Amino acid sequence: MRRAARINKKLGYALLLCGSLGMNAGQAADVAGYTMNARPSICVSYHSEQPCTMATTVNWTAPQDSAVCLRNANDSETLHCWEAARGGSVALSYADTQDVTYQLVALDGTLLATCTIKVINRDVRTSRSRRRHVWSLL
Amino acid sequence: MTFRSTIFANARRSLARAALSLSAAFLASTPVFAQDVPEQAPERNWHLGIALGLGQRDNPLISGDTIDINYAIDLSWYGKRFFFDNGDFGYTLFTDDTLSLNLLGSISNERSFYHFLTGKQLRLNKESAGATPIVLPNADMAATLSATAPTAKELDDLNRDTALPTRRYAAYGGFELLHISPYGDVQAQVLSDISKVHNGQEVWLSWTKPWFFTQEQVSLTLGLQWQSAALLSYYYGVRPQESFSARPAYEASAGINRFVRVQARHSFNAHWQAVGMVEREYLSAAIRHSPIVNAAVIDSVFAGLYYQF
Repeated sequence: MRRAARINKKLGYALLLCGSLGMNAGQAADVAGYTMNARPSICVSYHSEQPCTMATTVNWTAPQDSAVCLRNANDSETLHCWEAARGGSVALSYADTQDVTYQLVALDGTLLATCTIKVINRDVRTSRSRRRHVWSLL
Repeated sequence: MTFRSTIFANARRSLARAALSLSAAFLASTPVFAQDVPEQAPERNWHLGIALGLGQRDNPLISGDTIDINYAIDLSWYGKRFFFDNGDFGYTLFTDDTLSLNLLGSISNERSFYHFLTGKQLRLNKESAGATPIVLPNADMAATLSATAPTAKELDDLNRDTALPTRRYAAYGGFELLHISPYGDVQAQVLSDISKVHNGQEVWLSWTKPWFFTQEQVSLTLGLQWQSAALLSYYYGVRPQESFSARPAYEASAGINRFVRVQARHSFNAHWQAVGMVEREYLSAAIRHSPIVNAAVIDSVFAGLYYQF
């Protein structure tokens, strides 16, 4: 019983520490009330030479009716435009080997908001999870 | 308290203070980090990380103290074929994007880290065994004792050193298979004692499902560890010459430990992470029934701040 109480106390401290540090998802700072996000925003790749592929949806909101376009920051390709809207969403097929940032821009080119699709390249050799020694438990 | 245990106790207190100071300093600066998007670290073949924090691990050995864990080290190096990963040495025989077959070597002692970390010589609690040592000064005095006096064998038992007999480290060698897929990571190892210390074998099989988020990673691991009778008898058995009334001789059969582990990490930037781990290991009946073990499960928990160099 006492052992369980000690473990629970330690676990409480651990959870308090994690909670205090915050588990917020990092989102790039947006300007003038414009927000944008992509869901899902993580593409996990198991093949080092092939592009990571997935379907994602980009959503955005604006404080007032706006004429905006969505573009790929890596190659400045325009993906979709809206004439006058306070928000919108578009489904995209993502296929790339590296992180891609999407930008919401005004028709005059002013950058309003951004979001990033992150690529995680898994390496089978470093996926080893066994920890034989107590000092290397992570 | 021995000199060695004093050193360990001081070291643990220092580490705990360092962890708390580090945590406090980091909490003050969290809002700055929370705005950052993690940078992508360039690929490299070595990896060194140190975590300071609070943690505990149960000690299943009889009269063994719970182990405080205030730090953890993550050290690995991966060359084209050779690798070192937290105490394991390996050579990759075959690999592609999702499958890897390795030759593996490691050195381990099933029991050593329990008293290594506590700095305590483990021995049976004589009071709990219902007796205290008795030394008779001479035969005449023995002769005058009443008929209820202990017999010669009982005296021998009571005066015997109850310290846990030491066991040697063993070198293991064998094969490892890794496979990753969207359904989870599989790790399988078949290892044998190549140092002829106990001539035992063990098989490890685990499945890990990682979930990735923008700044967080959470993983669930389920696993099995089969250990042969020779291995378990060496580390958890009691030889006839080591036995006495409170510690009967014991020869273990083969057994399977099962475990479940949940790990989580939150990245603040390319170097700093908050890390947490909770694990429960269910010991095999062969270990549970050993006279030197008084636990059925081993719980481990750790949370802290991790710095990746």
